[in-house]
Amino acid sequence: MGYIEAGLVSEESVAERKHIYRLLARIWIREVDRNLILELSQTPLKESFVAAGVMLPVDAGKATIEQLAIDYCQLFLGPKDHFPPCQSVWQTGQFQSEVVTSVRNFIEISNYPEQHIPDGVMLDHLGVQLDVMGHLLDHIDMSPDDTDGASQIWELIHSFYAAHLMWPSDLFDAVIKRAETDFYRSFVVMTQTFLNSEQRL
Amino acid sequence: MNDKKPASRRSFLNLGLTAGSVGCMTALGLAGCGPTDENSEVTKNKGSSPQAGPLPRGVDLEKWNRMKGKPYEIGAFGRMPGVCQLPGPQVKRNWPDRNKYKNVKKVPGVCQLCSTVCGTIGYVKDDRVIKIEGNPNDPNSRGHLCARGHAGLNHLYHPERLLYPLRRVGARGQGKWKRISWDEAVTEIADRLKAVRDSGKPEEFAFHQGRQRSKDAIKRFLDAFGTKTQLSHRALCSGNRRAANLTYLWESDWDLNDVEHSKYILNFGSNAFEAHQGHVPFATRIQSGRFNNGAKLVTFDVRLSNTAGGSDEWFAPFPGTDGAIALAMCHAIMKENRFDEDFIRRWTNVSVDELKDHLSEYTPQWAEKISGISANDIHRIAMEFSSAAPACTTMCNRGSSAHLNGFYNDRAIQLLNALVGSVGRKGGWCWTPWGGLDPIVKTPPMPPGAKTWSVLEDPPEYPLANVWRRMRVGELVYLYLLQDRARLQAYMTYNLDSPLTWPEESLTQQVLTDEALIPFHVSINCYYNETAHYADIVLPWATYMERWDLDARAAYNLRPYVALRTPMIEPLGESRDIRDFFPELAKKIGGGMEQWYKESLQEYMQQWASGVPENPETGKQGLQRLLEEGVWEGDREPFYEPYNQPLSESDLERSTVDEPTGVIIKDGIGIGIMRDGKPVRGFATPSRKFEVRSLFIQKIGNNEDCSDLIARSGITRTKSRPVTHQGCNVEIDPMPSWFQPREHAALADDELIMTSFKWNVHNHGRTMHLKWLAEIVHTNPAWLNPKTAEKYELEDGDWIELKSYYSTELEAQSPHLNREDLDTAGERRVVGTMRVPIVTTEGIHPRVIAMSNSCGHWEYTSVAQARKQPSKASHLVGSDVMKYRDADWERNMWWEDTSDGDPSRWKPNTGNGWNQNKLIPIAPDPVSGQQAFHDTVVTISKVS
Amino acid sequence: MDNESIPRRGFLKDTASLLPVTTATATQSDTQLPSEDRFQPESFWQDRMQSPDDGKNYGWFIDTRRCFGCHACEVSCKAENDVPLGHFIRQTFYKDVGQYPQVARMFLPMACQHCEDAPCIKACPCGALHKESGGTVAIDYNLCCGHATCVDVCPYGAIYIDPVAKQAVKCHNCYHRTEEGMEPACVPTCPSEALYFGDLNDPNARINKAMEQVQETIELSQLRTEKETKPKMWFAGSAAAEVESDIPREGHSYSTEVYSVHNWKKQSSSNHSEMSD
Repeated sequence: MGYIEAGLVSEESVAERKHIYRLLARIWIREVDRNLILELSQTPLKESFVAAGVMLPVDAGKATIEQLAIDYCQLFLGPKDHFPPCQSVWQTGQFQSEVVTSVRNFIEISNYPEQHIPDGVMLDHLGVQLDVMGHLLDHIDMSPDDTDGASQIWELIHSFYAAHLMWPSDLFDAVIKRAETDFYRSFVVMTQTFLNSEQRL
Repeated sequence: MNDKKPASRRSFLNLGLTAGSVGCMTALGLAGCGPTDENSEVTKNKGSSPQAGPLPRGVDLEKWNRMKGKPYEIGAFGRMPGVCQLPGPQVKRNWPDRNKYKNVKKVPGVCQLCSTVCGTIGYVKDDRVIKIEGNPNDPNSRGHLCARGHAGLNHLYHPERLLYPLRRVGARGQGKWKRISWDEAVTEIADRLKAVRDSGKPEEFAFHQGRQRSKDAIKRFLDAFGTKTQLSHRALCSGNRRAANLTYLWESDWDLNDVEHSKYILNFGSNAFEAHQGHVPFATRIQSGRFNNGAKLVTFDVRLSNTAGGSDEWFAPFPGTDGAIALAMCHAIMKENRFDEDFIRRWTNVSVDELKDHLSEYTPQWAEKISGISANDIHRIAMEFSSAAPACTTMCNRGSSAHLNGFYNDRAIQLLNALVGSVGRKGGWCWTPWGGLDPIVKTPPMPPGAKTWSVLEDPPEYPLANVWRRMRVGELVYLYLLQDRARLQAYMTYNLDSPLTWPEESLTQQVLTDEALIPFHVSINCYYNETAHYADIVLPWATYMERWDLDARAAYNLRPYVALRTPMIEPLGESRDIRDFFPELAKKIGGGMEQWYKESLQEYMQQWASGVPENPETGKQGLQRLLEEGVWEGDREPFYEPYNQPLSESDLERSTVDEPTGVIIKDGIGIGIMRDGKPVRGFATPSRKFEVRSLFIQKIGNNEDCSDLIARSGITRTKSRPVTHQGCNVEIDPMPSWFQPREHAALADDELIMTSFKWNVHNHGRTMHLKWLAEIVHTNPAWLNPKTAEKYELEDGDWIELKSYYSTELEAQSPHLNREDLDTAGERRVVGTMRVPIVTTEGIHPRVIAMSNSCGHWEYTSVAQARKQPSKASHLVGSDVMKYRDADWERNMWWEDTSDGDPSRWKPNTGNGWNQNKLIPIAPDPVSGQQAFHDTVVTISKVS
Repeated sequence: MDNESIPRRGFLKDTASLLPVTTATATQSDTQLPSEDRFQPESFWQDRMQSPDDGKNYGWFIDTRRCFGCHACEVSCKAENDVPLGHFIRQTFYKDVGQYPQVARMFLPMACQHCEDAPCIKACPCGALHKESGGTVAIDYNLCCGHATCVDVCPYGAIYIDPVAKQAVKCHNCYHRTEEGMEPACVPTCPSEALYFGDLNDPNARINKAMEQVQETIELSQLRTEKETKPKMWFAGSAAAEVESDIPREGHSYSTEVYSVHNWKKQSSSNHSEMSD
């Protein structure tokens, strides 16, 4: 059943949702650096973040950046007891399971610009999956008139969400418990809350 | 914890609205996500640059409708289009998948999970390796692969693989890290190495390798840099066996026992069925020799290895007495006139009478007293062995050589083959003069060898360590640093796990931690481990399934071959091979280094492989041919009886014959010998004969000039010892003889000798993270004979405390090993103590306690540590549960030890075992420097 | 050289003769046929007991004298079939025989025997167990509901229940590979060349050549033939007899206990309660 038929989605929110997915993607895919913190801390984005429950870093100073880098590393990169944010790991216990092939299929179907994915990032990385979702919503956002096509795209979006955005709850739980900085903890809480709210649609 | 109320959905939509409206597009999506370093010059040779262009439009609805027609259920997670079922614990449908091997690409590779380098084929589908199998084109392994090889999938895709360069934060060894870019890493390393070079002491950059199969790439880098301080593990492995072979042969350090064609295989302590350097190729041929050719296999080993357990006869001698047994067999063969008089006369440099005389004191009765093996058995086996000549061979490895008298053990064992004339014969004791692929392919031009000297690489106390080949004395590295006998400015480790695999764990850790001794440490590895833990920068290394090499191992067909290791997939994450980043590093260091890195990797491989001839069927040649076939074997005759090969007219041009010896000399260098009036190749030794009596080792031991001997051998890369060795003289017996370390000769009733061994599913320090292997072997209780256990009132599963001691032999022979920081006041010096459980077994000598290596990791992956939770030592303990990171691991791993070290709660076959190197002292054989892993004297007491 | 002349082989032969393969260490319950009360009516399974009529007849030959227990077959199988930890489609048993200093180690790679009269097919209540080409006993996962009746009746402990799927899993002769012209995953890898699989009806098959050659000097044996399931796996060497008592029986599956070095010396026991959980 499509979202629109179910009357759960207002087309007005598609643009916002698309932007959130792509904003989350940007932060998940690579640790925050000075420039990104400064950008996120600008008004009115900052206020929106606060409203969404994210505790932005107090400053973009060297010490803060270092602390965030250490936290990001111990959370996601290791070298040990870390939580790789890749779906394969959480569903099959290894990198690069068939999950990756599935994401690639969605990327091909949706004409997602794969060259945007930084080198060394696996296709089933949560950041990539969030960005693909943003891209899929963009299709809806840009072609609202084609109702037949739109309903098929909604079906595609639904499938993508079910296949590739429902997996990370264990990742979120683990990271929220382990995070040593308010920023990453609250950011992950926000991602989790947002994705949960998407699930209800 | 986040105790705020969850944000409302409205707040998210607001955030989206804001993000979309403030025009901060750089913060949105991956398009705005370039490298963190603006000035990055380092980009991996893959993918295209992340340039944000206009979004491509349109959804391929046709494809979507086609693919969604064939969804597969994946548990509760919904549907994925066009994808076969997930592996692992999901509901099964259509299993096994009949399409699994359809549309699969077969990519050749070479395994590197032990030292044997078996040819493999990676089955690659959708850019993923779905299975690894043996390559039937590999003439050595013949398509077979051991358990380790199959677990390569675990290695490639382990969720704890290192994927990004990391820089240490906080104190060394504290375990805090942050990610850095490759560019930052390369720049920093280059700066440090440039400073070493600029200091005029390039030897203070040490490259310390574990198992390495990219010899050319490392040599190129180090020679271009100008340091010879390349440290290896050879002395932990095979120094004595090599030195013994070299003494007899000069042209080869590796005997290749032609067991497939043998009738009798006499094994002194080798565990070829589980762990030999020739493991699979050798083991296959042993069984083929036995069951297709009727050979008998007799094994001497203090422990019932699988090789011993599967032999036709097993004898358990007292540790380290293999040489005594072998000499007694030699005695019996001479006494009973079962020797090959013709071979001895023609091809050894001693006479029958000299041999009889030399061997006269080594009677079977003498050996029985020392070894515990009955004189009758020794005599009988000697007779059986000689009856099978020339299709008979000895085999040996670390079992006989990793002793303080290991050089003499192996000299004695190998002598047996000369007496019965099986040297170089079909089914006998053979070798090849080339190393693997050398005769087929030549590397592109390499820089001239570095001319530096370092005591770390060439310790003067060990005369045979570096004369023929550079075997070095690896186990001394950390001790010599501690003793301030050498200094380092920079230290690069590669595939190394020294705290686990080097003797004296505590010393290794102490030196690795000390920033005064090791000011800068870069670790290159696929995984975080006990060495990387003490690094300043950790570089994620590509696995052997993601990189290029030409490779080959000692060829059991006695003809050269070459195999191609090629990337089956692109390296995961940002992992890279040294072939990929050494050129960048060299260019950044500059100072001339860059001139050796002009060609691309592709060009380098093409040039390197260009000697592989065309396949007439496919028309492909060189690298192209190898890419298709994986391996190519030369078509020359097997290297049998090379000493009888006649010299050609052109060989003999400008040559002269040295009349008294018959040695043929050309341009001042020996090329052959006159036998029965005919010029033949002979052996590549100074006498051109199989050197039973070696004047060379005697003179080398005494630091005498040997250039005349070297010239006659024709092996001119052999070197007399340098001036830095003056004053370090060692008496080496020119004849095969034998001595017993004094602590063994005087072993007290309450003492045992601890031996070490390897399992068939592990290598020394690099396989315990592979869950399919760890499931089979993960722990290492100490093996004890039930009679011995009874003496200590021990039962199977009981715990003991082991206490180990330094060698009194070495305290007398090698005073340079002594440490001022150890208390030596009167008492016997203790290496360490450790508590372990025991397993009682009929398969062990009653005076021996055996513990395997490979176990007891504490910084390697959670699989290697057999734990589902963060380690007890971690600051993370109690903070969370690592649930579902690997559902199979989380749910099904069954060997976690939950006893907290309490023996009363411990369950057999749980946990990850104990590092035996806590107990083993640094103990180099005084001749070659090989570490005596099997000689440690211990006492035990029951833990109640 | 004639192995029979070697003292130690003689010693092993003596030990082996105490444990004839075909009758095993008989206890009352062991000698009974698989509990027929668990079988479904013949009409329910007779079609599934027939393999496709393609002239093939697959069998196994294990030369245990060659095996040195390297576990390559098991790990290849684990990789091929994504077998979860703690569960096994095939497993290699170790047993130390004799007393110091006369000791030998026996190795026995074990897996489903692909019985001609497969009790698992007869007992399967959902009709999932059936025969594929050559008599390969396999499971249809669109039908298997995990009753585990097959585990209860398998005289060789060769079936396990997947811990998540709650479905039965067993050796399927890698039919997805043989259909592509490949051998089962365990066979080509064997460094000791102890494992042979192939079409017994094909005189040129490697398995037939190997069996013929071995039979010139020694007799082959089978395991637990008293169960009358007509297994299609033959053994050379004494390991089958020596290890027989350790192999799980009806109601059990291969267990992790096999990997404990503490158990290699374990004496024969007809009680396998510790072999399973």
